[in-house]
Amino acid sequence: MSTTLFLVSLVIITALFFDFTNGFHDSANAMATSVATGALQPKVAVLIAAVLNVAGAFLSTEVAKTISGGIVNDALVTPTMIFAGLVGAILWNLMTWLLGLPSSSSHALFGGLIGAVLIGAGVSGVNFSVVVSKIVLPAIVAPVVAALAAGAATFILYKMIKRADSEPRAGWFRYAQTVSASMVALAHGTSDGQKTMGVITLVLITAGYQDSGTGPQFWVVAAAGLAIGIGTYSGGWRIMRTMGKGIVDVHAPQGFAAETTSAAAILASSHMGFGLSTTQVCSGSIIGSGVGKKLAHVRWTTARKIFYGWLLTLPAAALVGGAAAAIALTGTLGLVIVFAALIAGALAIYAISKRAPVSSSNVNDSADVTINPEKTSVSA
Amino acid sequence: MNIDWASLALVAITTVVAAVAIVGIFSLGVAALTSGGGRETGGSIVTNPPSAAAKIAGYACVGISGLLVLYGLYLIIPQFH
Repeated sequence: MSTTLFLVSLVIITALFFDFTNGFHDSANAMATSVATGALQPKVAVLIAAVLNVAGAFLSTEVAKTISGGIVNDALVTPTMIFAGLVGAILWNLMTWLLGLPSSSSHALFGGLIGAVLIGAGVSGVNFSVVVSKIVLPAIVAPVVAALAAGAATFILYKMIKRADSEPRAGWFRYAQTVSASMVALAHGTSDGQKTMGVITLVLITAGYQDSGTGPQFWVVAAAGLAIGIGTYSGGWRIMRTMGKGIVDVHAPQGFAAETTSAAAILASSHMGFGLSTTQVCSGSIIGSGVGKKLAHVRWTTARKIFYGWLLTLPAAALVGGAAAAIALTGTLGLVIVFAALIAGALAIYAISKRAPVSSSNVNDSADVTINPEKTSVSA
Repeated sequence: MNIDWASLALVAITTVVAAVAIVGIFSLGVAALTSGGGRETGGSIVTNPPSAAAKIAGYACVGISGLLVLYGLYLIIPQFH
């Protein structure tokens, strides 16, 4: 096997692995509130989200022409740097999943790439003003706008309807909530599914396996769609618990207001040219649905923890991406070492998660995601 | 630094207006459709059917919400553009 083919295969495998983590990280964005309110059985919820994500991946025709949208100088990016960036993004996604923190997969990918480019091409390879305008500013705007909108919507809903939490009204909201959640899942598939296709296609073009200017091949679309679908179906239950129970104890009308706001924000941002992170929009909406309801309890400690996670996403992924690039750029042996480290790291995080597992059967049992087993797991 | 404040404001306003409008319309529909009132008999709630006018208004609101969902699908699916 030639070195190029080896490198390209490695990047494709890593990109699909990233797509998988993207799926299970973002499963909660669409479905956490529906799972928390009992509108959908946990397994049914992730199945719907998975199917819609795959459908979305196949529907999306406009595949990203650049990997980073100008955050790094794409002309300087080599497949090895993409590989290192993906490694940083995957490990950060797994780390935040272990802690049950929703965080943006795109920001993790950008962070990893920035680190890899800093090491591989120097400071001039990173466009820091674009980092501020496309990552830092939206990270502040997204949760604030979503919280404001969902808060207002929730407030008006409870003003208009007395006892909205009780039957038969709650039943209507459970149906409506499922519909809005499905919209979020489909929109997610069209945007995030094509990110991995873009990465793989660009690597194939760079390596000379595909003509420049051509779209993704069918197997790339199918593989990326499948990876994000399987990831979504696996659920990411730790993050699901935080978003459904940890921030606010969501009731069906709140879930409906939150998911509708998220869908509106995602569609507005993708059609009006100011990109917002799905994860940050959805987290903001859920906080808003707690603020807008009288006497509802928002757990600000959890919200703060999530926010700190967002601040760390870029530098943390950049650090890992940079370290991975420093090793991977030394040659084939370096690539193998980084890939082995990725597998070892992923397995280690998975093993730690088994100490206090969260699954579809216990996702709603508690509001906290812990690393160590809880001492009093049997409640009195 | 080039920050597109205009589209930022547009996205923010659209999100707030759309969220409040959609949630408001659907809630109005639910309010109308469950306006018959209920009484509790031995723990279970028995609801009375709403008046005919409330029923029509309620289904109209739910119908509008359905159309808004279709518009959302139109926006999401690129083949429609």
